[in-house]
Amino acid sequence: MEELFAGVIGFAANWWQYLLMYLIGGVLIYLAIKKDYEPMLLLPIGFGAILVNLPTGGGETIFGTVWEMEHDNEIVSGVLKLFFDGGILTEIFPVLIFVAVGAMIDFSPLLQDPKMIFFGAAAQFGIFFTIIAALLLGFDPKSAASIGIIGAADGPTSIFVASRFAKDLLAPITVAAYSYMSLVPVIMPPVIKALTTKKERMIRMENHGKRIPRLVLILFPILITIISGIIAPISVPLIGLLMFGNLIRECLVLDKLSKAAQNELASLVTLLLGITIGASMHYSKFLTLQTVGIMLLGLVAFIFDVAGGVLFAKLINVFSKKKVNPMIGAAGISAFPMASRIVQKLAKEEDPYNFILMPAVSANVAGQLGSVIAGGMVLALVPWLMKLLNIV
Amino acid sequence: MANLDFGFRLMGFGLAGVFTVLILFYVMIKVLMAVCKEKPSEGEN
Repeated sequence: MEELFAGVIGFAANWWQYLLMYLIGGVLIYLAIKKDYEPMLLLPIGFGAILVNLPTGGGETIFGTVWEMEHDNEIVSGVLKLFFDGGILTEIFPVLIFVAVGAMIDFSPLLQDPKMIFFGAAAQFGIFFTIIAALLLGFDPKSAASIGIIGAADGPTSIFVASRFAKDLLAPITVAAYSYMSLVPVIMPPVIKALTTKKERMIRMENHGKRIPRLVLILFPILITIISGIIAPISVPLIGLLMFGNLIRECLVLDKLSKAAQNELASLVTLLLGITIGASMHYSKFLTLQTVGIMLLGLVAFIFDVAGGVLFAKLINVFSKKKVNPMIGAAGISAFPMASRIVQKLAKEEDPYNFILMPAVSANVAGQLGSVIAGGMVLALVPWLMKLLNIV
Repeated sequence: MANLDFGFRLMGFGLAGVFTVLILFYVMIKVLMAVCKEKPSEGEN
């Protein structure tokens, strides 16, 4: 008899936790549908959060969750845990997303104006600042590093690092990463305005419209992979697959594959990734003070990324005759193409005839490279430093 | 305190590493663009 009412009994035992998780799932779905904030991810995450918090009373019953259930006195994995184990813990989903992202990115703006690549490095400052903040809040080094990577503004990199360093924190880290990426239009403008003057925001920049030879577009992903492989081998699963996707795009003989990577592969993996991450948000793991801390630190990471980029651009202006609009620095975060569009919008607000979209896109594309390299650096440096400093 | 030392070292090495790799990418792009200069097609000046 108890088995028949297992759901009701389970719900009654932890009703407020379940209701709170339905509310959190509902808010994510609302943001996706009503506000159009990263709908491809927030909607599956929100629904996954509801799915995994459907109560069970334990026992062999149809109320078994999508995560785990008891069957013949054994705990067996539910369908979404199988996706989680097979797609996220094995790093297959984030790496496949990188193939899709690589096929979507046109690196021409960066090749036209390569000095913009440095903004892609400066805008990773938030990652390292946040790691220190997380350490101060009492997180262990590996967890702190995983939280800091939220500042990569790059979901797959966050998932990749967290799946190696802090599997238990994967859900809140992913939710924070994608939530703040969708909130970039809200986060960036006040930080930029606080750090720049109207005069600085009105600086005009040259648009490089030169054509990039096809050979360069083909050699670029190959050489980037080789250099990364030699300097930061641990970043190869990310940068290598990103560049593989880009090569498919630029070779111009695999049009069908390129389109499949950009559309079908991206959609399918994003869908599975989203619902699987959502399904790892069981209340017992998610409703903790740690989650609150991670959400706050994620915001810190984004703010200091933007600040790092803007301040770096201002520093360059001290030494350079040819002034850079410091807002370009903010476009060095990985959120593509949102960051560059916001920078252009802010430039237009000050001067309707100021077109800085192309340099902003260059910096934004550089941010894609910078975030992946930063992820690789963190993966390589954390174990090495822990060993060096005898941290257990 | 050891954790904080860890954090600052990670920041130093990490940012230096990211800048170093991106400097290499910059040099690589410059060399690539210099080597693969597109010849102006006929009719272009």
